[in-house]
Amino acid sequence: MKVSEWIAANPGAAPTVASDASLVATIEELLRRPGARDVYVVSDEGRVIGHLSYKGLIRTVLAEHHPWPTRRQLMEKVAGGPAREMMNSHFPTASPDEKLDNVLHRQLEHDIEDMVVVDSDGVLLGAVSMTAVLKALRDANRHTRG
Amino acid sequence: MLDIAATHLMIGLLLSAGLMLGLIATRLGIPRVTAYVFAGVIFSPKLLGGPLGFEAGSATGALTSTALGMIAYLIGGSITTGQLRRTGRVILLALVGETLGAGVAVWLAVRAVVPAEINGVSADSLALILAAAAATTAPAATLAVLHQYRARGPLSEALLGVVALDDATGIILFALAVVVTTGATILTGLALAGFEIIGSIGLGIAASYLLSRLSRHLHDGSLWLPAIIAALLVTIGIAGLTGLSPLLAAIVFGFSARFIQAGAGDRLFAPIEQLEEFVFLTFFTVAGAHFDFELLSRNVALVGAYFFARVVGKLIGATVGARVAGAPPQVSRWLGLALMPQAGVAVGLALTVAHYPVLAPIGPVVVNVILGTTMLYEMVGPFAVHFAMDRAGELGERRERARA
Repeated sequence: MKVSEWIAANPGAAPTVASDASLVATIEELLRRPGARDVYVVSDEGRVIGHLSYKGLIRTVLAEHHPWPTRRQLMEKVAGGPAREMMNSHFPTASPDEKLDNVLHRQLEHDIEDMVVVDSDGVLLGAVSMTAVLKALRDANRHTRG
Repeated sequence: MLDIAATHLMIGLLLSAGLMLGLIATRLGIPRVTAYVFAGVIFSPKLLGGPLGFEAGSATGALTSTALGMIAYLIGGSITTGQLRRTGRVILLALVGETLGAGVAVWLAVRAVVPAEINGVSADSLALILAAAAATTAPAATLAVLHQYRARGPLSEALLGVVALDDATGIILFALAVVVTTGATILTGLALAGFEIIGSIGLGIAASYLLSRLSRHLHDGSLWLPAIIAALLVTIGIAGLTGLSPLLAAIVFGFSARFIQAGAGDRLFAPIEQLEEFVFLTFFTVAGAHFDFELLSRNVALVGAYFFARVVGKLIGATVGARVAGAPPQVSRWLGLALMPQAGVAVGLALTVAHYPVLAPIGPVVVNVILGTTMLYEMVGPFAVHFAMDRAGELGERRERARA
């Protein structure tokens, strides 16, 4: 199956925030979508420019509760900053023309729950959710057994 | 070949002993650091080290300087220019105050108790090295107390900011102190200092630029750790061979790598952050193996002078800095006391003193003074943090009582 077919059948998208969003606003966006584990930072032109993981955000917000916080987490906690300073700008994306199997392989490799699908300009088209894929597999198995 | 194998075996046994005693200490509620040092002491020359022919200094020199280079790289990369701009006046001025306060107080105290020279090295040099190391604190020990007692408030926030930054100022001051003390005269010292500082900064920037060029070809995430370690070793190696400061070059390398590759913080630093506990295990066990009770007992006055002067300096310096910045009274009054803990970075800095030929004769004195005082701070420090938080009314139970 192609990614474009998958996102047409499963139109949900990953949480996104503007590049100047604060840490609190980013967390709020994540909490608005139960089960979401990845937040993407989008530029004013609508291009996806960065990725923030649930675990990374939690480690920053709760840095003082971490038994061995890193100095980076401490400074991010103390000095705060917009999403563009906290984000990881090197992150895997999916293209609409590739096979879904390839995308799942990259999701597992990089531990990404919701992988964004972008066009050649980096504009957000949708997302491949690992949970949605699992549900689809379960439904397909039930159908086969039934 | 046999020598190399024996060295590997001894270092392996040293680290294994530290790890095992650390695990036991954790179960007993004793700080792991104390167990690491104790394991090291077992391998000191007067105990197992002598009969086994284990010379901690010569066997672990490359290991400790690499480990300290890693810590300097991580500390440089933990700070961005944007964060420095956003960090409040209270944190920055308190940081300057406590760093200078501890440095000046330790320098004066060491000069007061040490004669004109010690082991052929001037007392000024020893005082300067110890004064620079006094700037560092112990983020992990401080945070453990804040977490345990659910401390919240302006003092806790200021404390978090200062402990996140003062190891950086300590490493920079230490690198500058080494640069100045290794000059033959004050004039040549200052001239050399200018060359070494500018050269080290240039080397760090060049290394980060080359790493950013290389990183474009690193599509496989598993290649980042070897690439960073290779770049770091090349950087500190070139610095050492050309008479520059490996520490300054490494800290600038980390800082400029994060600046050049904005948004690559996780890739640049997370692999090395995973090694941080190994680095501190190395520092404390190796420092423990340098333990010399006779030397320590001959220098009790020096240990006492360093211990009290650092506390007094941090108290006065942080108070002045915080007051100038307009901090609330509970911050200016108690911040200095909460900065008492001292740990791994100070020990790591002390271990590298012996690597500089001019300073090598005072290496054992510096290691034993820092190790001895770190143990004392390890015992007293958490109580000082707790006391400061309690007096500032920021402990969880106190806040709840006040609300009730």
